[in-house]
Amino acid sequence: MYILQKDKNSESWVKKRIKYEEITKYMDNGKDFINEEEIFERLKKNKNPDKRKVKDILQKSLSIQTLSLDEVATLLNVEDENLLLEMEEVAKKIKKKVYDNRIVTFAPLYLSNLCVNNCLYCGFRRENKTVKRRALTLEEVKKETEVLAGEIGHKRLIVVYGEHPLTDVEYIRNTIETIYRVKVKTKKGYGEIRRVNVNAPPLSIEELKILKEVGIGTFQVFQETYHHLSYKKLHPQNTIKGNYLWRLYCMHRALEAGVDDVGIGVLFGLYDWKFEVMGLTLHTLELEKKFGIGPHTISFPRIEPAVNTPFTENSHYKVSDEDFKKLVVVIRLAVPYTGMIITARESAKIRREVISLGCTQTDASTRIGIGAYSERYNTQEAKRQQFLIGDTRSLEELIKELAEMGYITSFCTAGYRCGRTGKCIMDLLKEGKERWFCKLNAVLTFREWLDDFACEETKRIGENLIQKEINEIKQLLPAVYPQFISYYERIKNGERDIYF
Amino acid sequence: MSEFTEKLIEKLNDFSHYCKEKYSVNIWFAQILGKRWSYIAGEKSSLPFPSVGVKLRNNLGIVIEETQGLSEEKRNLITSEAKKIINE
Repeated sequence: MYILQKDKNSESWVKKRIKYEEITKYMDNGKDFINEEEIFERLKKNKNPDKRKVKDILQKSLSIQTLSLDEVATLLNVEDENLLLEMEEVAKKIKKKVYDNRIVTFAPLYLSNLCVNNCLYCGFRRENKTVKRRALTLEEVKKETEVLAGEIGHKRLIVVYGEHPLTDVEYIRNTIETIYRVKVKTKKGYGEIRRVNVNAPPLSIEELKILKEVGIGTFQVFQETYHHLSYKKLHPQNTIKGNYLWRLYCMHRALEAGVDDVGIGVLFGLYDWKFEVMGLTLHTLELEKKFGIGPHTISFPRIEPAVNTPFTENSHYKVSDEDFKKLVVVIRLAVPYTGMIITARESAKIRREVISLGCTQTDASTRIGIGAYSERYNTQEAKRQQFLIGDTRSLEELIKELAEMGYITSFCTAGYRCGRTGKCIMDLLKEGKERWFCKLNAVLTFREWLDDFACEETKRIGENLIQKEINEIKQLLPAVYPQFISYYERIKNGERDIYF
Repeated sequence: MSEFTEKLIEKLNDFSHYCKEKYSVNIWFAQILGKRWSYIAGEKSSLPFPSVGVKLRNNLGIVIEETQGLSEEKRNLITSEAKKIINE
């Protein structure tokens, strides 16, 4: 009855969503911070960049400073093959300097595909009648989490919601609390989700305070496109998402509400990719200027096919693989301290190539259908998914591949559980100190996963990698080594969740 | 954040500096939000020592680095001094 009542009132719910006073208060002289003329002008002004200038910019990136708009425009205009290779090398060095050789893994968990919006490129848009609509009950959320934490071994999720009165902030809170309560017995210890990141529609300050109280990890909202006119064309004006500014200032509201880890992103393929990278830079500079905190993560998904959604096949702005690799490098150089997320939207081949260019996080064993983990369907079902993913490999397969590439898979969620958040973690990242925490916690959590979930072959590969890491820790961190090794032994003996 | 006033944050930062000087240990403070300990004041060191989180009250915790020179007695002393500060 409650549900029917709420559903009936969805029109009035939609009308009340946008709080204009929570947009205008952040604007400077009534203007938003995406100055398109400036972006186009800078891109034009910095064409055919001088080699010396590019090399100076690379040095600035290496010192972990955010680049200016001019500097990003310069890098975006580099066409010289040798300079591009140099940019790649510096991007790799930055990743190592800030995060070491670890890759954090997570899984997306789609809770609902109900949506009042009607975005042209989205499989979940309101008018797409082909999609089977569903929101998980709390019991179903529990079952999904039991598979993710107890069978696959994930410790970190990104929970994804559409915009709908039935999946409002109350639903978001209840589902996250349900996920955090799940604890499952494993081979040697127990499985649980230790960090829940949230990808949700833009919320008000009051609602964001509710999410903060639940103890979320990162709050993530992608602008999709920073180009005003394209945004208007793709998001019908009579919908909530049609309001560009409500979305643009969402992270301002989050930071004001005290949610101090925020994630931004673009859906590449909606407008010119160079413009979008400039938009991400402006967003970063704006948050740094107003709050002293930049984005905890930047995401750069490319548009993928979705059922009954022709726009996804026909966009003029699709990004080629070559340009995609270049934009990843430029983002790494532009915001050197930020986490960068490459997802299973991309094919295994592209992920393999792009991970090494500076990415810090990726997903695995990914299923994006509603209820897909516990209902155990392995093939993609377009009617239940927002789009079709490019890489359906298991976590175990990914871990083996990463190990072969010299990366250690990390399940670390330590930072946000001991106060390394917001400005604190930004400073540690910029000073190159966080990498040591990353290294130690990667080994400890990888050991947990190997003992609880790995098959014998993966365990053998993983142990070789761990031994190499331990030797490095002994050599590079002699003061910390004794405590580290005692933690490591405790984990081998079955203790769980010990961290630096 | 309203209960974490600027005045309180300043006091917590001062106490963090005091601990650094007197006990040679880094401490910092965090708002407790479920599993999340969200940084609000204090200072971290340049080495990744393990740390212990102690609840000072329902929504506020102190994190103390476990350096080898820090005895349990000193840690307890720091915790009780911190409690006094937040109750002033």
